[in-house]
Amino acid sequence: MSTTDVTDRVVGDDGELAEYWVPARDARSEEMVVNMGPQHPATHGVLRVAVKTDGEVVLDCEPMVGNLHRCKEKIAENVQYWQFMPYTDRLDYLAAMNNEHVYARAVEKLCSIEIPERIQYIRILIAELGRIASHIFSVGVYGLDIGAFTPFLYCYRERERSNSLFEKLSGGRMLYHYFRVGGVARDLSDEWIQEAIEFLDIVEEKMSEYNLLTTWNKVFQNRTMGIGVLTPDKAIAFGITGPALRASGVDWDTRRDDPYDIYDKFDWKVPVADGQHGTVGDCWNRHWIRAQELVESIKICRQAIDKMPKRDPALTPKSMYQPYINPKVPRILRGPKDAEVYVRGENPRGELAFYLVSDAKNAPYRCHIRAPAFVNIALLAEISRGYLIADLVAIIGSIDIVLGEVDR
Amino acid sequence: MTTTAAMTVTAMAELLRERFGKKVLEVHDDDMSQWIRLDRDVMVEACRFLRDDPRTDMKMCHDLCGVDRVTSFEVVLHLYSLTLKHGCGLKMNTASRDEVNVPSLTSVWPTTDWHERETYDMFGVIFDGHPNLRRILLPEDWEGFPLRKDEGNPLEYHGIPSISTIRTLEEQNRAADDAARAEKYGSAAPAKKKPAATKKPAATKKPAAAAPKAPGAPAPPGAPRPPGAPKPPGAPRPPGAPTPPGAPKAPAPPMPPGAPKPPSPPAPPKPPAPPMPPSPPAPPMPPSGGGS
Amino acid sequence: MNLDELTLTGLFEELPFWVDIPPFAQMTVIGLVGAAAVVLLIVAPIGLMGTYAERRVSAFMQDRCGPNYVGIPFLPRKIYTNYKWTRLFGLGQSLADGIKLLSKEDFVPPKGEPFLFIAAPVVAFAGAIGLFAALPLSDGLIAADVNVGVFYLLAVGAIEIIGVLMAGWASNNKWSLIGAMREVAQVVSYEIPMAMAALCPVLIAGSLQMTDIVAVQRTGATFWGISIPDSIAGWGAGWMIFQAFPFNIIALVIFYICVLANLKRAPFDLPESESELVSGFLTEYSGMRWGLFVLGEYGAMFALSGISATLFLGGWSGPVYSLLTAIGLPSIVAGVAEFSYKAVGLFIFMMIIRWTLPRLRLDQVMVMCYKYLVPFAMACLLFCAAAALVAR
Repeated sequence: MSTTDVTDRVVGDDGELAEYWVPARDARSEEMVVNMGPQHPATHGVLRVAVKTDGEVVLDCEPMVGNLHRCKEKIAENVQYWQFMPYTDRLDYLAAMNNEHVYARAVEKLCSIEIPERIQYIRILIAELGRIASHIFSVGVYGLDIGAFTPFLYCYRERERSNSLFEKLSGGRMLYHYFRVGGVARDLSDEWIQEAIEFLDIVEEKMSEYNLLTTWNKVFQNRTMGIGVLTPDKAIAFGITGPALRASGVDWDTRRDDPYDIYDKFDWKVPVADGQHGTVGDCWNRHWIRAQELVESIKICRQAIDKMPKRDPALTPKSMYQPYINPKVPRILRGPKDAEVYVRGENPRGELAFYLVSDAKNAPYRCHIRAPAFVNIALLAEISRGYLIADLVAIIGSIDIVLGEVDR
Repeated sequence: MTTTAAMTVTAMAELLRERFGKKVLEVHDDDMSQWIRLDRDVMVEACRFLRDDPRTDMKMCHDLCGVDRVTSFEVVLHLYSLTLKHGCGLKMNTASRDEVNVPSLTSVWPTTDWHERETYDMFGVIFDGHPNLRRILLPEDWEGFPLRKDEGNPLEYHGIPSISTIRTLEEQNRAADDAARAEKYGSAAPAKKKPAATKKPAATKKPAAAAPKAPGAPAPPGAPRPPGAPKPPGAPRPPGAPTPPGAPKAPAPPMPPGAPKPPSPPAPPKPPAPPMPPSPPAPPMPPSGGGS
Repeated sequence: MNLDELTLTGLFEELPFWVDIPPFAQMTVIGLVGAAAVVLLIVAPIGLMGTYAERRVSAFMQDRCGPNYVGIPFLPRKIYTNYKWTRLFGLGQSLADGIKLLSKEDFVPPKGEPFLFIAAPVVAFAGAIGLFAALPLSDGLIAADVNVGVFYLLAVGAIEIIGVLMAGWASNNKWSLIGAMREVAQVVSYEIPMAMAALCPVLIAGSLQMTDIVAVQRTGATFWGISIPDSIAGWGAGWMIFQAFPFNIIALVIFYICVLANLKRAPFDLPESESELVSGFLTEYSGMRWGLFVLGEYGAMFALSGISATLFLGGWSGPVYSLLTAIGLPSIVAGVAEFSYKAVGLFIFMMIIRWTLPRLRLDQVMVMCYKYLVPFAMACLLFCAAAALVAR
């Protein structure tokens, strides 16, 4: 049974598997339904996948989500705008800063709040550092899915550094609550920026280690190349965003193509799969795009640090307990009457979007969260039919879901 | 009209009006939000048009969600074009709160599959033509649609009390404790509790099991009590029901009829619906989110 | 008593009532006592040290510390904190783990096959300790010098899959079953190139007996018909990898890869691949039953490393042996020293491989076996036969 034989079985979009899955000659095979998860090491949390298999070949699978449902959208209707900020941390808990960024932008757009330039630079720096931390984790943990334990710990060594960095900034190591509506919790000190530069240097240096252990490892490539191929048309039709979309060869990054904040002031390139290695849209390319985005994010961070404006004394809060925000932000935030915004931002796992409907109260009338992982994992059955169980694990890992975001 | 330029939502609405005429109900285009409200009958066709027409080229459906608009439910889509780099929102409404059928868009964008399931899960909007319309985030046997504004808090799920039930229980426990303390220390004790007090010495025959438990030993009033634990009866130990000496615990005064889980069993599965929504924007018939 | 003449049977013959016992009972007693001695003196220490070494090696490779705290038990805290040597670099960790395993809940899946479930670890463990019987640890230190030693080792080494299959079936768990089936497919396939590779030194030596194979690497070694003088053969030049020069090295590599596959070590750890099959056939096992599997695995790891060393790297003969005997140490001690550094080196190398490589997929494992290892092993066998012919 070679790889090509297995992939040849994947036929079209129409779901009827029995039509094209014909067992060899008279071989009598029985289908078996295996329950992968919710307690399974490869499902990245509490995802449950009901897998219909024939031996080890996946005939069909259905992801079942909701085990981590925490009523985020209902909570949002019952707390004030600013109070919902820490809840957004818990969506994609591996990139908490990025969630806060998008939510803060949504509320600011709804309440028409201006952001001072220095704070915008701080936000970009923090969001990109969050992306680096998240991608480091994803790259390492994908090695774990493939069966290599060591790259995970190598990557986690750097993730520890970023955690410490964020801890100095916000007091939390995982869930930060650093962004505020109209600004951030506190200004960056010069020492902190120095440490951030050191962190970037270290990550840049260690990238070769990660790539040697995973990306350019022959066994790793054999496991991931040509597996779970997602064509560009299908990716767009299924609403895939983020690295998975770019790995399918679609040149789209919200930061560049629909720029928000001050992303248009930076010079970086969007890595897109070009088919030089592996097949466009396969697991390896999804992994490789993440590894490349790490480098690009480091570039953005360096530029943000270089270009960051000087401190504005007018912005400096009077006490350390006051946030570092635009002083014009009202004490009680109220959205306009009958207004709504849909704000999206490029998160490490795709485009996170908040849909806020306001009714002139201090809490949103409706808050919908468009979670990228929720959309991406819906595709699982489409790209995993006909592969082996081991490939299913590789595909789940390459989509890189976070269940906090899927289940909200 | 060039095919490569990004369009405004107004221009898109003109395109749709050419095709669907009066079925384009409302257009909203300002800095904050841009959307078109369509009649639900033409929604599938309009979506297919927006997706396939090279002038709009909305290949990506970014999001689909529901909003409770008091008189009806609104389904909101957000579409984007990756080539032309523009986007718009589309809206359609159900006929009323009770007639909740809208057409499914899974035939246009497969990504709406899970979004529609979620909208059904949260609002009870039924998408006709959806291949697999089941609950997705909530359990299969959940009752009610939690994001509807008239949806109350559930009392319990499979015997697990919800937070509102626990709060009610705490209140009851506190009241019971207060009553017990009042009875023990005699301050402002209700007159009808007297017989219970006279009953007490008789019960001490079997030592210490029931006697100090029922009226005495008041828990600190703030302490929450686990809902499964036997709760001191609201009216402590009526005179007619003496403790059987053999029973170690004597849990059953008439109030909770013997169930180990005393919390308000006769309560209906849901409390009476609270007054409709907190404050919905309630403009008249075409219920709008934008007040242009 | 002369150390060289010490044998197990000789010990029993000292007993006054020994001659009154019927012969089959004598055999049984000797077998049981021998097995117990092997388990208690060799396999258990190797298992404990193996788990410790695995954790320290992986920690070393992953930039961590690993277990370094649990040392001599029941010491006062003051001594423990002040004198670091009392921690013994964490050597007590395996023992503590063993105590933990013994005290864990003894769980048997109620809907499985309880008898098979309980018997499976015993069978798997028996296969592992059986390997030590025909393994020459030193000069004369071999439990049973059977004349079909290599066949015996290959046969006994395959017993383990029966235990694994029993475990997978009896667990009543789909993941366990898939893991067991993977194990069977993998091990049965890899037996073929493994046996072929093992036959290369057998051809050169002209014997299946392990002592003969060691002996031919000390005296009478040949290099494509050219006789290697015994004076340098004893210092390592006579090792099997140098006889029939390039082909036995290839055979060693093939044999070592097959050993990895048979032992389910990464990158061939598909049967218990944690991220795919939860833990494969070990999913339902806990406590000491699980511990028996692991103990057996480390025992087999050491035994098969020793077999590789014996077949290809001279066994207990080599430079260290010659050096130590030259300075007057007894030959049995020198042999153990020579044997251990080679066996432990191969043992540690297995761990280094495990913590470096990702896991292969089932079809890739099979492709590797049938498309690459089997043809290469066949070629090696052919050329080794030629070398043996030339030497004769």
